[in-house]
Amino acid sequence: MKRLVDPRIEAIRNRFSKIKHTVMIASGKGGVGKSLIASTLSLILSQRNKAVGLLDLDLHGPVTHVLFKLDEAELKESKDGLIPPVVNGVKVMSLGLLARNRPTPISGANKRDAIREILAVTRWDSLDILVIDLPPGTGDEVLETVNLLREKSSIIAITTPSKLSITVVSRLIDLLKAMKAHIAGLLENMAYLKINGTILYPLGEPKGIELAREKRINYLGKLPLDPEIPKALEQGPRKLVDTMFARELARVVEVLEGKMR
Amino acid sequence: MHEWSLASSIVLTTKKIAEEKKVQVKGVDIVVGELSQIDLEILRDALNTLFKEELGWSIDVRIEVEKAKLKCNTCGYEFGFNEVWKQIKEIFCQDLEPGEECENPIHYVPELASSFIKCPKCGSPDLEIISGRGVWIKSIRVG
Repeated sequence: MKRLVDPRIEAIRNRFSKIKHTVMIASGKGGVGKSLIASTLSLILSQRNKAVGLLDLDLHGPVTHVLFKLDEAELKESKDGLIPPVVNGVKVMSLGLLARNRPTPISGANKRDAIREILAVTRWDSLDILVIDLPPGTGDEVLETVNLLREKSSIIAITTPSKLSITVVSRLIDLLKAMKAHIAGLLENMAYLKINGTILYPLGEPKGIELAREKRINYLGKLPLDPEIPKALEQGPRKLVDTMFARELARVVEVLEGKMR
Repeated sequence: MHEWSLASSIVLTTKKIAEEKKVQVKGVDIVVGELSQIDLEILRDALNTLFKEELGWSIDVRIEVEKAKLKCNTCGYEFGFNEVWKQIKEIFCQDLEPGEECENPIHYVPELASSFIKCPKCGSPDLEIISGRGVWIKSIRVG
């Protein structure tokens, strides 16, 4: 019997057999707050005594390790793979930890291999939920991750009210549906700004609910543009969960339960 | 460093194929990419141990190394890992004692090579891995 077989597929299956739920955070375009949502979501879940992991699969712009104030020295090696560092109860893995904050010019088919490698080599052990921060768009990394984890995962699609974001997330939803991925719902970020009790819509009136209706998927809610966020990010992940943004996201977690695969 | 987890995935995969094809396995041929910097002796020991202890199989394990070849997408130059090994050592292993292993992230994710090495001819980091990455099951010998 001669055939080249990739043993990483079985390794990934084995690793993920110990993870109850996988939630991927996806978006059509960058800059919609995906990494902030993935990080804050994992912190909220950890506060609720869930065993949580956070995996940043943005090969070219990994930032979650920066949000968690980690550096590469905290990634431990073992004979059974790489052990992610734990911050505020969340196990955090990012290519940024391995790349030592250098550029990661990974191209073409190498991207799919990099995704397989990270999924196969990371030792999560048992988790209630693994939150995956996907790169924006519909490139190799997204396709490969969805293909590998489709059976046991749910996807939250992120948009802002801007026409550009709505247009590209619409295409993403079509693609995910065509791939038979499970979409938990659409979440609209930067939907409003609250100043002294006045609600403003700097990116336009929220339109996510209309898109969700058109695509026949759940609308998970609206998140604010929160002026407290930059300061909270400087202070570290513990402060992130005290923001208005996190409080609104916590409501989404209630809605999300029961909608996950 | 993760030779044992690699061995475990090879054992799981071989077992799955043997069950699907309903065959008795006599041996496996493994290809190891040079970029993965696998310790072949540890991998061989781990495979023999896991095949024996997990499955009760005493089989012939053969391992071959595929040389790494990288191509620069800027100037087209193709080169081997040995040509750029010095660059890796300068970043990760300057203070090593003789005989100590030069641990580096390319061992875990070979695609990270372009984060740490540059084309020896033009200095570009836009590199493509042509061969010598990862670990594969090349063939399974059956009875």
